[in-house]
Amino acid sequence: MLERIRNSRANKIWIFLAVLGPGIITAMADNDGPGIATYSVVGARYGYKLLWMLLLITFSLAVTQEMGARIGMVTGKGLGGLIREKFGLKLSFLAMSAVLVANLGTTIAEFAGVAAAMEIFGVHKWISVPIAALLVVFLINKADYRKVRTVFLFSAIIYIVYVISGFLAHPDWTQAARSTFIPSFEFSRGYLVAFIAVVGTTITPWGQFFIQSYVVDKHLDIEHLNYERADVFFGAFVTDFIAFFIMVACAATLFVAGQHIASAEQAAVALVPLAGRFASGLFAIGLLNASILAASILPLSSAYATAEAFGWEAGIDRSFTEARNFYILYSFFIIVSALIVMIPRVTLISIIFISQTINGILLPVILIYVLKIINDEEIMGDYVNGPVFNTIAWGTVGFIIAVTVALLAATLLGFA
Amino acid sequence: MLFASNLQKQRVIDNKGLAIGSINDLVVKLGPKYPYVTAVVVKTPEKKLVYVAWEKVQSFEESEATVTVSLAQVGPFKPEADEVLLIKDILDKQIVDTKGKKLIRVQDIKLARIGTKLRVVAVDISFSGLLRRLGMRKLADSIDAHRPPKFIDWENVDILSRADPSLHLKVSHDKLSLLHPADIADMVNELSPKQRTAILESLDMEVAAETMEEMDPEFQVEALTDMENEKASHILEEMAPDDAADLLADIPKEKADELLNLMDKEEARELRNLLQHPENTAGGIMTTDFVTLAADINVRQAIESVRQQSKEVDEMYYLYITDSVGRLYGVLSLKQLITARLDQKIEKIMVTEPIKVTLETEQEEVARLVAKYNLLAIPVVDKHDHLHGIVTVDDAIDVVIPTAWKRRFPRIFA
Repeated sequence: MLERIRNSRANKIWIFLAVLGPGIITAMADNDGPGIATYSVVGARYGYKLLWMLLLITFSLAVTQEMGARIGMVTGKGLGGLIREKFGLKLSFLAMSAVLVANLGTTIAEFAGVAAAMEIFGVHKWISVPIAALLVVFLINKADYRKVRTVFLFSAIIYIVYVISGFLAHPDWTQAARSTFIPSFEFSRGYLVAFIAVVGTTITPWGQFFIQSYVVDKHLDIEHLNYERADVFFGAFVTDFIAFFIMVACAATLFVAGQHIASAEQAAVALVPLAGRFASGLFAIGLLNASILAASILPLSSAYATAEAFGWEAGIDRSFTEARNFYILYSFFIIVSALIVMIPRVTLISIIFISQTINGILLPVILIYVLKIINDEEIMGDYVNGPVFNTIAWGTVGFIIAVTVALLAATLLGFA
Repeated sequence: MLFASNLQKQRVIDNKGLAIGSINDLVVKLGPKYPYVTAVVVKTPEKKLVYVAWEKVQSFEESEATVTVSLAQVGPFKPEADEVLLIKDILDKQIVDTKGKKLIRVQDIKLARIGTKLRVVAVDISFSGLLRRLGMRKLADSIDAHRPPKFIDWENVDILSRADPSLHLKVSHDKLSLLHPADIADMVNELSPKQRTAILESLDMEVAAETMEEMDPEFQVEALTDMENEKASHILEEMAPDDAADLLADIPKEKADELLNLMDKEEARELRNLLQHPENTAGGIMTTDFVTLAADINVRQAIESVRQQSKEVDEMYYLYITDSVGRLYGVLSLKQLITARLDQKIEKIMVTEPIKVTLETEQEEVARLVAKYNLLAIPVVDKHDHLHGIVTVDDAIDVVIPTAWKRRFPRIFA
C-alpha cells in the first residue's frame, strides 16, 4: 500500500519533470535582449508607474500561453497549419503576414541587442553583427537541440543579478507595491507607446507559435494538461518576476537620477548597486547571451510557422532541396536583420523599442485567431476555453486594441 | 472549369425562384477513382447549414445553382462515413508524398461535370492557384500564360477519411504526372484517352452509358475500342438504341460483330435492324424505344398498358396507336390520354393520320418537320406504313446543332 503511494508520487513527479519545459523555456526566451532593453527603458523613464501593468500582463501571459499549449496538445498541430485549415488561404495569409512582420522586427531587435552589448566592449557593430549571424547559423545547424536548451536554462541565471541589484538599490518599496496594485494612467504618446511595448515584449506573436510547436514537438498528451498548466503558469510568473525586478532596479537607479536610456551603457547603470564598476560588463554579457539565443530561435520559428501554413517541408534536418522555401525564409530573416542593424547611425535602443511596439500592436491579430481556434468545438472538443480564460484573453485583445487606438489618437492630436 | 474556391459565394435558388442561401460546401463521396458530389451544403441567411442531395440540383453554374426543392424540404447536414466535405476537409489540406514528406497544401480543387455527376478531377498545387485565391486573378492568369499551372490528377492522391489529416500522393513526386489544364476539363471529352477510359470503367453501367451518349463521336469510338469487350457490350446495352447503333456503325465491322454477339439477343437484334439504315436518314437516327397502344381499348386499359411499357422506354412524349400487324394508325399525346375520361375508347380521342416520315427520309427533312410542327417526336414508318421507330426532338436538333453546343445548356436531372 505504502509502496504504491510512493510509486504514484514518484510517478507524478516524473511526469511533471517530463512535461516541465515548454512553458519555462518560452518564458526564458521571452526575456530576450529586446525584453531586457524595453523593461529598462520603461523603468528608467516612468519609474514604478507601469508596474501595475506587469501584474495584469502576468495573467494574460499565463492564459495565452496555456491556450497555445492546450491547442498543441489537443490537435498535435502547429498554429500556422491550424490557421490555414480553419480560415483558408486569405485569412491565413493575413495572419502569417502579421507574424512575419512582428518576427522580423524582433529578429532585428535581437541583432541590435548583440550590437549594443558588444559596443560596451568597444566592438563595432560591423564586426559583431556578422559574427553573431554566423554564430546563429552554427548554433541552429550544428548544435544539439538539448544542449541549446541547457544553455538556455543556464542563461536564465543571469537574470538573478537584476533581482539582487534591485534589492541593493534600496528602492521605495511602498511606492513599488502601491504602483503594482493600483493602476495609474497617463494620456501621453510616450506612456501609451511604453505600454504597448511592454505588452509586446512580454506576450509575443512568436511566443504563441513557439509554445504550441514546442508542445507538439514533445508529443505531450492532453491527459497531462494539468502538469503542463503548472509549467506554463510558473513560466509566466518567472517572466514577469524578472521583468518586475528589471523595472524596479532601473526605477531605483536611473529614474531617480532622471536619466533616460539612450544606449546600453546607460542601461547598465541599473546593475551598479550589485556589480559596481563591473556593471557594464555584466549587463553586456547578459544582453548578448539573451539576444543570441533568441536570434537563433526567431528565424527558425518564423520559417517553421510559414512553411506549415503553406504546407512546405521544413526542418533543419532536411536538405536544401527538400526544404528549399524553409531555408530561403530562414536565411532571409538572418541576413536582412543583420544588414538593417549594420546601417550606420541607426540608434540600437530605439530599433529595439520600436520593434517591440510593433509586436504589441500586431499581437491582437494573432490572439484573435488563437481564440477562434480554441473556442471551436470541432477542433478542441471538450477542451474549448472556459468563461474565465475567454474573459482574460478577449480582455487582453480589447485592451491592446483600445491602447493602440488611443496611441493613434494621441499621435494625430499631437500629444507629446 | 469549376474550382472549389469559386463555389463558396454561389447563390442557391429554389424551385419557386427564391434565394434560399449560398453554397457553403460540397459533400463528396470517396471511393471511386474520381469522387463525385453527393450533396451541396447550403448556408441559409439564418446561418443554418442544410443539405440538398445532388439529384435535387437542377443546374450548377459558377454564379448560381438552382435546386428543385424548397427550404422546408431540406434537412440538416449529416455526412456518411465515406463522405467528406470538399472545402472543409480537402481544401488547404497538407499534401504529403510517398515518403511522408510535406509537399504543399491544396491550393484549389478542380471539378468536372462527367455525365450527370460532378466529380473531383484534380488538385491545384501551383503558385498561381495561391494568387487566385488571394484575389490576384490577373497576376495569376499572366503567370499561367507563361508557365502552365500544376495540377495533380486525383487518381494520384489518396484520402482515407474525414479524420485523415493529409492527402497522400500515390506516386513519388518526381514521377508525378502534372497535368496541363487542357487535359483535365469539364468534360470527359477534354480528358486524355487513357483517363477517359479509366473514368468510364470506374462508373456504373448506366452512368457510363449516359456519359458515352454525351461524348463526341470520335471519342466514343476511341473509348469503346480501348475497353474490354465484356464491358463495352454492357455499356452498349444500356445506351439508347439509336446512339448505340450510331456508335457501332463507326467502329470496325469485326469489332461491332464481336460486341453484338456478347449482347443480350433481343437488344442485338434491334441494333442490327437499326444498323441497316444509312446514318443520315430517319432510319439511321431513330430510336426503337416507343410506346404502342391498340385502338379498341379504353383509356383505363391504355394507362395500364403505358405503365407496363414504360419500364423499357426512357422518354415518352407520344403514344402510337397501331393495328394488329404494327401499322401506324394514330397518335395520342400523354396529356390527351391522362386528361380523357377513363371509359373513353382510344380510337375516339386519338389523332388520325399523324405527321410521319419514312425510313429513307433524309435527316434534314426530319429536323425540318419536327421544327415546323413543333413536335417532340416524329414516327418513322416503312413503305407499308409499319411503325419502326421514332426520332425524338433532341436527336433532330443534333442534326442542326452539333452536340458540343448543346452541352452548354444546363442539364436537367431526373
